[in-house]
This record gives sequence, structure tokens and C-alpha cells, in this order.
Amino acid sequence: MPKLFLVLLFSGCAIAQPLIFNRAVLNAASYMPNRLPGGAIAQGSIFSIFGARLGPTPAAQANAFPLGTTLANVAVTISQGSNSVNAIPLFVGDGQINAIMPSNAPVGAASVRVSYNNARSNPMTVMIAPSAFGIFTATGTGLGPGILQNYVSAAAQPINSATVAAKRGQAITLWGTGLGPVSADNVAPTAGNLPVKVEVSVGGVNAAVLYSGRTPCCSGTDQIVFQVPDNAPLECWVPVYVRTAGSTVSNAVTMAITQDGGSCFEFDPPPAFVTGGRSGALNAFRVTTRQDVGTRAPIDVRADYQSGVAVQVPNTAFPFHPVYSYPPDGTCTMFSVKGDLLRGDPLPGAQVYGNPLLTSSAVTFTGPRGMKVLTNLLPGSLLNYLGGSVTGNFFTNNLFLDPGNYQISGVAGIDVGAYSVSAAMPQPLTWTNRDQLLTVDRTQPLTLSWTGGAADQNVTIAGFGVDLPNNSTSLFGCVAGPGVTRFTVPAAFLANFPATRANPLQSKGVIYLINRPASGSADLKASGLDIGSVVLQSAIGKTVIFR
Amino acid sequence: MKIGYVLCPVAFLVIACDCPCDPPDLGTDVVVCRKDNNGVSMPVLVNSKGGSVSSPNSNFAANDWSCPDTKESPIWTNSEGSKYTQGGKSASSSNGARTAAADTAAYLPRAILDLPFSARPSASDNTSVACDSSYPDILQVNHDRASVNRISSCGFKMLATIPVATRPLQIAFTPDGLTALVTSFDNAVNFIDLASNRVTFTLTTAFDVNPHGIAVSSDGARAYITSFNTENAQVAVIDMALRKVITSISVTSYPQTATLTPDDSQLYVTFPLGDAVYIIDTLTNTVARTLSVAAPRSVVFNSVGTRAYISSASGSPGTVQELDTETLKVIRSFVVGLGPTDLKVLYGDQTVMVTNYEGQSVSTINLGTGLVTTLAMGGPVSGLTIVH
Repeated sequence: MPKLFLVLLFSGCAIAQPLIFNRAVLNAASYMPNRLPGGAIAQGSIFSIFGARLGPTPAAQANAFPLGTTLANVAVTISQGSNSVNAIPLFVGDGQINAIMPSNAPVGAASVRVSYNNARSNPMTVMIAPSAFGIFTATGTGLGPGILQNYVSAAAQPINSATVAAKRGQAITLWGTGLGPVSADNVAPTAGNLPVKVEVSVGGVNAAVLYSGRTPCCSGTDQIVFQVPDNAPLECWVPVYVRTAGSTVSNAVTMAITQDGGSCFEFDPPPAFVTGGRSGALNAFRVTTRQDVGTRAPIDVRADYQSGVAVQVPNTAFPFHPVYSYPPDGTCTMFSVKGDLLRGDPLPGAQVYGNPLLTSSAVTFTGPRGMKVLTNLLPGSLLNYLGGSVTGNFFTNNLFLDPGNYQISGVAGIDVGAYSVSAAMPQPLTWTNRDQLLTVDRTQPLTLSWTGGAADQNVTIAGFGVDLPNNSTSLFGCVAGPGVTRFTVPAAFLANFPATRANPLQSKGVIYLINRPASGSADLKASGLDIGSVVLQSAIGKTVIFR
Repeated sequence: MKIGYVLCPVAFLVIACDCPCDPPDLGTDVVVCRKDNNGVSMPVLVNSKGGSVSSPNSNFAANDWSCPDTKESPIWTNSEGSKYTQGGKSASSSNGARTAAADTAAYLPRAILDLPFSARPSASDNTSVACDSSYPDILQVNHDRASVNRISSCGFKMLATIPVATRPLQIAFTPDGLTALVTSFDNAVNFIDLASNRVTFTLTTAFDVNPHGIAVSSDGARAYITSFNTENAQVAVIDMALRKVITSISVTSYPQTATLTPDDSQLYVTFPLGDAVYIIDTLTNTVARTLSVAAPRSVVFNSVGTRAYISSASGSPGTVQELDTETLKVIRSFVVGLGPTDLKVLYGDQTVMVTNYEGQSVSTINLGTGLVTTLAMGGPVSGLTIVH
């Protein structure tokens, strides 16, 4: 269709009117979807509004107390029925506003509107709670290394990172927003603990909380000071979360903990993509899912996939990758993000950005079912659906990744040399209590048990809850170390899962056990790569109902 | 039916994936209402994969069934544009009399709708569909006969004919599947108890409110109806517990269909005569945005509410506009048949189907490839429902 006609056909809304994007009013630290339990905007907290034409270019920032309710001709109104209050803008730009939710804002569903140069935006519904904490992150996504300072002395409080780790027993200052209301939002806060109950979990161990309240410097910003537990796990990416009022769970961030406070990479070499450098990875996996929610009879769906990427990853002070930065053995992490991750929406930070490395145009897999030549999707990027099967032979069984040994090879490309790697696709685990699991109580721990696999395998337990109408996904990921055959997922990691809806077409709930034996992994060594890996995995899953 | 979502793109396995995570689409069947060359209306089954059409295994007389017709309908247009009156009679126009159905834009969207259903295994591609009594029923309005038909989707057996207030137009269901709400242009909303197939309550609206479009929130707490007139054009909000109108939102003339976003936060209302779509914020019951769309007839959303598909009957052939509901910008425009009307997004968000009333066809849009295939139906088609 000619572009002009299309423009005439659908000329859209008034150009100058500010537009708040759909569902784009979020906790400024966690960015957790607002309709999830931990994603509500707390009274007195900082929240972000994303949209278009919301404010000036260049952006303006509040820089002196007392703070006002307008900034650069931008105002934000919070309304619930006839009750209306003004938020306190801290940062206003064309695409984003950061503001303080007034401590006297109404709790529950309210409407947010932006006014810029007297033009009013569309209203956007937002849930407001007395408290709901978000932890600021170095990545700015709500995932990954948190903004946590290792207390060394009053003058030395470096930000925790993989190379500046904390020690057990050390005091840590965690930065976030959402502990709850205060008497005044527009002046420099007064130091002091706020009344809300605060719990901090470090790698699954409760930490002693030394302080939880506003930081005197900054309105809307909270500090929680805690002590690293003596039995906290030592790792690069130890999950940390905050629970307020006994029930509301924040985003999970990570912190590095080592015996001596040195770099965690010294004893735990980083996987590909986590630190900067020329990295490559090839993955292949079989996923078997028992589907018995929303189906008349259970259906087993099997699918084989393969992916790969080679890229020059830029160096960063806070290395983290949501897929490759595993939590320590015996612990869990969690993410709550927008989108349907089970249909391809990516986790923030999961896509590796950097200059793609030009590999050969194809990878050859040779295994029990013969040979497949897989071609690049994009330069340096592979993605292939290799085959599948469904109970009842709804379509032809064309599975490829049967358990067994595989030879994976590629010829030399422009940036990456030739390679040939051997690895084994593992047998799937036997999930011994799978068929007894249909409904998951989100307030209770979830115990899973299995048999089979290699003695040296790590088992990853991954659970997903997708709420389609709200376009959000919560997931947990836990790592059971070698030799473990039973794992209990703490209830906190289920707290932000959306409840499964009555209409089975509106929700997805699934739990997977993924085995990763040593034989399924190999180093991918090729000229032009600083680091590389090949991983073959098998996952067994089941659909569940979250209640 | 849910089938085949797997752990393709997720954490702990792959880096980044924009892949076809579901196994191949097993095919979905839809039902449309078709009027043949003899003026006989029948429901027909269309396979979304191959586009094959199954003849109804009907055991009821043709007179029992009536696809939407222009006769005595309060809503009709002619070639010179729209002429509507409060009483449903045509206003004066240069060519006076109403023309035949085939070349007018009589438009009664959603004449048939799917009931809440139980899932079933699907048939494989292009094979005849075996069905049984557990298949969902379909409701269909008899606009001219003041009744609603309840029909089995397996064999198209007529199960009941339910009298309602005159000139019924559209149907919506409560999420518990117990009640169907039917708008009647003549000032009523009918509450049909689906267990007894009887109207158990009639909400009588003001004399100048002519219910047309209807949507029910997913929690069953609110229903929204449009008043299809110019004298008191509005969207009325019904408290379902109280079964009364609790507020109304004034809008421009002739609001027609009403479609809630999946999260119920917004209501999209079409104005086919005003070339507009209103976005109403359901918390404040205010018009949040107005979009300019030529001759919009219907709106449907993908499962996560990030895309809206709007049938635009402007031009020949018509189009389906794909709207980014975040930025409110049109991303793509799909050329379909003449007079695209009712829309459905099939499970998995990969396929959109649309009836082309004047084009007498059904178009299937593959959202992955952008390809559109159009199947001639041999008569005007309207109403579109998915048989899961």
C-alpha cells in the first residue's frame, strides 16, 4: 500500500499530546511489571513513566530541595476517584519521567496522567501499595548486579562487583526504593528505620538487617544495611532479594562474595559472554514437555533446538548474563519481566550485544540420527528448530537430538577459525514426582525429586509463569549440585508468579528439570575466540497451575 | 487448544531466541456465517490451514437460520455513504431505496460467537474434523426475528431458539460461561441463562440508547455497551452484579463494536462512520485517545495485548491494520478482501482471520510471513468464531 495512503488511512492521535506507553509505569529500580505482586508502586517510592512527548529535550532534573510538583512544565497527577495528588518529578525527558509517588497517594488501582506544557496525556492505570521494594541494579534493567556497597570504612565503600567482592560478615549497603511512606517527600529525608518489616536473603540465607530507611541525601531512595551471613555461599552471582511486610518480594539482584574479598573470577572462571572478549557458544537441547493443563488428555511435546552466537563482547565493570551467570549450587534466583518468555520474548540482557564475529556460514552436527548442516541466521548467529514430535502423531516425528555422542564442527570463517568439538546429549532425567504435580501453591515451598543422569551433573530447575493478558512472565531458576536428587524451591521465589487464570488460553505455567552433565559440555576452541563453549542439554517439563 | 509451547527461548538454555518456539500449527477451525446465492444462510466450517470449507451437516430448515441481513436493520449503508436514523429506517438519500444485501455494507459483526469451551485434540492438517458432543455450542442472533439460536458446532444442530428483545445485534459471554449478554437495538440488553436457554433478565435502557456492541470484563464485573445512534451516542457501563447502568461515556455518533484489551484496562470502540477508534480508559471511564482509522469495523488483540488488529473497510479491497498498542502506531497493513469485518487472532498469535462481508470471502493473515490468503465463500460472510 502506498505510504501516503497509509498515513491518511491511519493518521493517529494528536501529535503534541504526551503518550504514556501501555503498562509502562514501573518501580524505578526493579522495572517489575506493575500487576505482579512485587511490582506495585510503593507510597513514597521513585517510579518511572515511559512514553513519548512526556517532557523536554534535553531532559531536566530536579537539583535542589524543596522539590516541587512541576519540573520544566511537567506535572504528574495520581487520581483515584475524586482523590487526586501530585507526584514529585525528579527527572523529565521526552521518553521518560522519574518521579516520587507521594506518600499520601491512594493505595490500590489509581490513574497516572502526565501534563507537559498544558497538554495532558492519556491516563494509565497503576497499582499502588504501602510498600513494595525494588533494588537498583548496575545494568539498569532490574536484573543482575545490584547497587550494593561493600563497607570497608566510612571513606571506602566500593560498589560490589565480580572483581570487588564482599566477604562474609561484611556490612553491605543496598540501594533501592519502596520501603514505604514518610512524613514529607519534598525535603531531604530524615535518617531512621521505617516501620515496615524488612528481610534480606543472601544466597538463600537470611541476613541481619542493620538499617532500613531513607537515605538522608535523596528523597524516595532507601538504604538497607545488612551483614553478609557467615554461611552465605561464595560465588560471583549470589542472589539477593528483599522481602517487605512479610510477603512482598523484590526483584532479585546479585552480589559477589569471596573468602577474601578479591575477584571471584580467580576461583570461578567466567563463562562466555559474561566478561568482555571474543566469545562463542553453541547450544543444542531437547525439551520434553508434558502438557496437561488446558488439554483433554496429557500430551508429550518434544522439540529439538540449536542456537549459537559469536560476538565481541564489550568489557563491563559489572559482568552479568541472565542465562550464563548461574546462581551458586543449592540456590535460586528469579526474574519478573514483561513479555512472554515462552514465546520468544528475551530476558533483558540476554541478547548479547557487541560486534558479531563472522564464523563459517554453517555448523555441522553429526550424531545418532545422522548429520545436519545448520546455516547461520545472521552473521555470527545460529538458531534452528531441528525437529519435534507430539503424542498421537499429530505430525511427523522428525526429532534429531537423540541421546548420544555428537561431533560439532565448522570451517573457518573470516573472524573465527575452524573447530571440531565432541559432546554428548544426555539422557533426560526421570522426574519422580512429576505426575503428582499439577497445582503449585505460591505461598509454599515446592519440592521436586528425580533420578537418573550422570553423577557429575548439575540440574537446573526452571519454573515459568506467564500471564498473557498482562504480558508478564515470572520465572525462577535453581541449581542443584552434583549428586543431588531432590530440591525445594523456597516460597519467596514463587511469590511474584501470576496466578493461573481460569481460561487456560490466558496463562502458561511450566516447570522444567534440565540436566547438565560434564560430558554435555566442551570448550569451543578456535582461533579468533578468547573463550567459547558447547553445551548439550536435555530438559523435561510439565505444565502446572499456579494458585 | 493449547498445544506445543516449549522451552525454546528461555533462560538457562539459549542466549537469545526469536524462533518459532511452538511446533507447527496443527490447524484451527473457524465457523463463519455464509449466505449462498439463493439467499439461504448457513454456518460453514473453515480450516485455517488449508482454507477448506466444510458443508454443514445441517438437520434444520434453512428458515431456522438467518445470517445477518439488512432487512429492517437499523444499520445499513448505501453506496453514497451512511444513512442512519433512530428508528432504523433509512434517511433520505439520493438513491432512496435500500439496495440488495450483496452490494451494501450491512454489517452486523459478531453474529456468532464461541462459547466457553473445553479443549480437545485438534485434527491434523486438511483432514475432515471429527467432532463430538463435547464441542462448544455457538450462539447466533436472528436480527430480524428477535431471537438467538443456540447451535451445536458439531453437526450444526439447532439446539434452541431463544426469544429476545427486538433487533438483537451482538453477543458476549460472562467469563464463567453461565450467561450470554445480547444487545438489542430496541433499548435492551438480554441476559440469557445458558443452562435453561432462557432470558432471565432484561436490562431496559433509556429510549435514546440503542445497544449495539458489547464487551464483558474478564472478571465479569463490568459490561460495556455502545449506543449506536447520534442522538445519545455513548458507551454505557453496566455493573454486572447490580445489572444496571452505572455510568456512561459520551462519544461521537454511531459507536459500534466494543473490544476490551486482554488486561481489561482499555476499551477500543469503533466508529465506522466517523473513521475513528476511541480508546477508553476503563478505570476512569474517560476517552484516553482517539485514533483516525478509515471505516473501522472491528478490533481484536493478540493474547498479550501488544498488538491490535483493526479491520478497515475503506478502499477496495479493504485492509487489516496492525497497531502497536504501546506507541499507537500502525506497524503493518494487510490487504484483504472487500469489506473486512470480523476478526480473530488464533491461539499462538501467529494467524489472524477476517471475514470480508462484501468480498464474500475469508482472509487468513500469516503474521510471521505477512502473507495473506483469501478464500472465496460464495456469499457474504459475517460472524467468526473459533472452534477449539
